[in-house]
Amino acid sequence: MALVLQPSRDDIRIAWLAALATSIHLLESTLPSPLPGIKPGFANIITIIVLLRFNWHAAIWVSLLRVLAGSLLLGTFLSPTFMLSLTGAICSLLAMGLALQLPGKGFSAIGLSIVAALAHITGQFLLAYVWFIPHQGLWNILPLLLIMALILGIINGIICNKVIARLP
Amino acid sequence: MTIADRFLILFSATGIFLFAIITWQPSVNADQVEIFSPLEKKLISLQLDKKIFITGALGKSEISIQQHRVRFISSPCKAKYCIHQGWANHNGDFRACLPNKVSLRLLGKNMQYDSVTF
Repeated sequence: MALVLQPSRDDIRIAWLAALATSIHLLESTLPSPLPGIKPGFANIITIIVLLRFNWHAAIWVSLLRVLAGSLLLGTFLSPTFMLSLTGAICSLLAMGLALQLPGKGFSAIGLSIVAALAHITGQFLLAYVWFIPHQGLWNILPLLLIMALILGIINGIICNKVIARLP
Repeated sequence: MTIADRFLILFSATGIFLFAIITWQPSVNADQVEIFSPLEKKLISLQLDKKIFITGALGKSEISIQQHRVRFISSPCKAKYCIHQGWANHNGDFRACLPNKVSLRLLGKNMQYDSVTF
């Protein structure tokens, strides 16, 4: 007897969005980076849109599927790169989940994007520091990474707001 | 952009700025150099310029102290990595010649990190 899994409409939607995020993730991985750790993080735009249009649950699926599929396609699955990517994704999801709890008007996509970018790089940095390079000198690079995360977070947030405004 | 966004940008920018100021303090210069060899362990001040010969496992390593800095000048090892490492002048800096088993560690009042993490 064949087991038939009937995907719900939400499942299909999450799959499409995760595929879109993965494509952006792959395209982004071909961009040269001036410094290890600096990356535009455009794939997170999809996560934030999903978070605002749907819910946190869907955003977790899209983000983690993106990390998994992206690593399988790039051949980095279970490598240190994958661990860093996964840590960043988990940290930014948790941070955005907390940021959503803010009462009142709360954050727009810009605020969420900044929170996500800062959490992402902080998580990755701590993992790199604890696991890969436990050297005090590493801290010298953190302010630079945080500044870039803030700037790129704002840019991504603006893109998010523009995309959301055009969505039906 | 909501009010919360503006506050977030303001707070994070200020936070990062303060963090950068604290992190990017210039390194503290060392006062002394500790030299390890198979035969001895010496503590030498960096105040006076001088040249020191240390007998290691292969032969004599020449170490120079100049303007509060220290480096390997010559060594009987093959690769000469110790010489290429150049001058060391900050607390916790470490230079080593593994084949000759001679190493230097800089010491000072405010140790930023120890040679294990270095």
